Amino acid sequence: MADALLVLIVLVNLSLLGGRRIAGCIGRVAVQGLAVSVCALVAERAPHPGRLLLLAALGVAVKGLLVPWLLRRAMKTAEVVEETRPPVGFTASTVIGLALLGVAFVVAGRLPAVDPGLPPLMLPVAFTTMLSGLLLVIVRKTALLQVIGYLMMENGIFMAGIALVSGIPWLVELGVLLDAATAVLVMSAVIGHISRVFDHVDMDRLRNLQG
Amino acid sequence: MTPPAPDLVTGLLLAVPLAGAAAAQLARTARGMLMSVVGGAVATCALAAAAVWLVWTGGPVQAAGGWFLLDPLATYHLAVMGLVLLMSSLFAVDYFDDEIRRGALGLPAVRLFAVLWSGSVAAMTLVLVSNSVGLMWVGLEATTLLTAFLICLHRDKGSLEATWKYILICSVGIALAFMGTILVAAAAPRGEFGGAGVLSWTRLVALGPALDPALVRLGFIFLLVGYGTKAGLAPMHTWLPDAHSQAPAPVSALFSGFMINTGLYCLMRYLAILAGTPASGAWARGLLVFLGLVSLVTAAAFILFQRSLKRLLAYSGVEHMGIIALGLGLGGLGTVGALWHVLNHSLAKTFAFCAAGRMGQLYGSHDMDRMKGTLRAAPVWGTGLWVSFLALLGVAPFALFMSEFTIFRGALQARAFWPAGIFLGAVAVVFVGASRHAIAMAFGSSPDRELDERAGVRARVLVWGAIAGLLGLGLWLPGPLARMLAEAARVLEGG
Repeated sequence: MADALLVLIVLVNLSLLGGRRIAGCIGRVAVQGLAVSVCALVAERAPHPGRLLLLAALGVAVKGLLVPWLLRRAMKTAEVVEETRPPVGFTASTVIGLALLGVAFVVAGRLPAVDPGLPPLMLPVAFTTMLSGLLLVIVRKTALLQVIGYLMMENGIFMAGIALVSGIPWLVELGVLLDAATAVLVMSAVIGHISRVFDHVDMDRLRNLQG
Repeated sequence: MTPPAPDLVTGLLLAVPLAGAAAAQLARTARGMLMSVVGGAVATCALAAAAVWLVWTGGPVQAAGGWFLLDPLATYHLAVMGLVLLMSSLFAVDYFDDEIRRGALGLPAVRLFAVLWSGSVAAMTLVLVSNSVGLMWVGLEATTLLTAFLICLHRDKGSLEATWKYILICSVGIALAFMGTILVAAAAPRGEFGGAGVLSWTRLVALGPALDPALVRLGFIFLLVGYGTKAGLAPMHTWLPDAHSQAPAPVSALFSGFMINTGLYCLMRYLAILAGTPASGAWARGLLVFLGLVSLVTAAAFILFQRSLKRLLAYSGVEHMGIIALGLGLGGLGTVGALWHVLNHSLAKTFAFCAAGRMGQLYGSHDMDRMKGTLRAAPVWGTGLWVSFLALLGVAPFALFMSEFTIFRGALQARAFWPAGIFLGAVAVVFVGASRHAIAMAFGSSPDRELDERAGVRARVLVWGAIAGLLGLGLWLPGPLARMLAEAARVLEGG
């Protein structure tokens, strides 16, 4: 079960690195968010199953519903459909993503062994997800795809947290989740403002307002 | 009189800014909103003083069941934050009064400013008082999110671009810092976790040598990149000049005066953890020296060719963060100098951004070639700009000269001659590059038209108070301050 989820997460990474159309990428990163939240349920051995379920449910709500909704709304406001002429091509990005997968396995292999109760793939997949997200932020120009890269990083780091540290206080996990949700909220709002000002507003008149 | 309870002080420190935000939301007039900001700043100062007193008399104390910690490092930074907050809030009243009078800013924007300002104060306080390195991270990310819309109060092209760069670069950076947090927590021996303990800073410091060195070092690299981004250390500083130059002046003052310090503060907490293992501690300090020097050299190069006053001040922020990182990396006397430099830089930089903002309003531009004869045209703020510039350039006898000199002596004491040489060289380049502008701005031919400076009591108190502070701290280090610095430095050395 857990291994299947982890393989799914890696496949989503690669497809996002090769993704051109924004609507499809939003759906895929939502699927990844759901997979990561369920992964937490499978892997965690916390003493409070109630809190765990609550956090997982909140994770599903944020990553599966709220974030895609915000991103779709921003996409409509900004009237962008796809990334055209990315700084690094889609095929090239996917190939680099595969290389990062190798790097992640090497790095994870050199760290002290994770808890034997956890799937051994967890840590390398966490690293590769984080690195793929960072890569996406760097190689895309469209703001929405950069936000998706940031979300992939969050997913990867969340998984690394499960794999490496047992018992992160629920207050901190809650804070991290809220921060991620707020980050997407703020980012999509800024995208909305940017598209409005850059498209429909006379720049000379606006420059006079500057303090 | 018994000292106030730590629970009460930390609780109020976090609650007061939130109450200020609520008051700003409910206020009907711009004056009321700005007064909620000033009131919050005054209350925060009083509470910071209470926290300083608490630790002064009773040593470090934990609060809220170990979630919060007041120790000399935290209370020292709380005091600096209070000072920056008071100065920038007082200035914000004058600044926004002018904006509102000119019709440049509407009531909703002022409300947004007041609410987000108070909210970000709460987030910065959370960073300072957290004993959980996880909660500290949550606070820092919240700081970024809450301050984003402060940059683009005027929704124009430049400020929106700056906002986007800021939110994306800092969020990505701070995400990396969470990876570092996890790696350091994972370095602790297994089997003795439970409750809030896993991410507890006091526990991690106590574990010290028991931490796995490989994981701690990998974690510190992530932390250095992540928190270094927020602190504006080169080469992760790219968001900083845009955000600082595009934001309204009071916001720039808070950003450069204190917000970037919160990033360095987080790194200081980890330096204390790493100090438990001498080899790892020395390795981490070496990295800080390196990043500090890179920041110094980068800032010096950009300052040489700068025309915009606010961008110049922004790069000066990169320079001074580099100096503080260098001092922290050198250790010993350097640490004391670095902590002292935190106060001096915050005082001078807040002051400089206030003066630059007021000048920008008077001249209608931040282009230094067009801001000439400021001393004659605007005696109060012109003097403020001139003095804050000299102080930032490290001219004796202002306070920054003394703390920079202390860091330099620290470098010689640590026999770090190369860093000392690069430090001197970069500071000299900055001096040459910026003093040229400073002299032209202060003494150049005055503008043709009369400038109506309208410096009221608030402005005069701010300007003369800041000048007195910069001069006073340069000529004389008060005993209590010296003790605070020594105690905060001891926290950093892991003791």
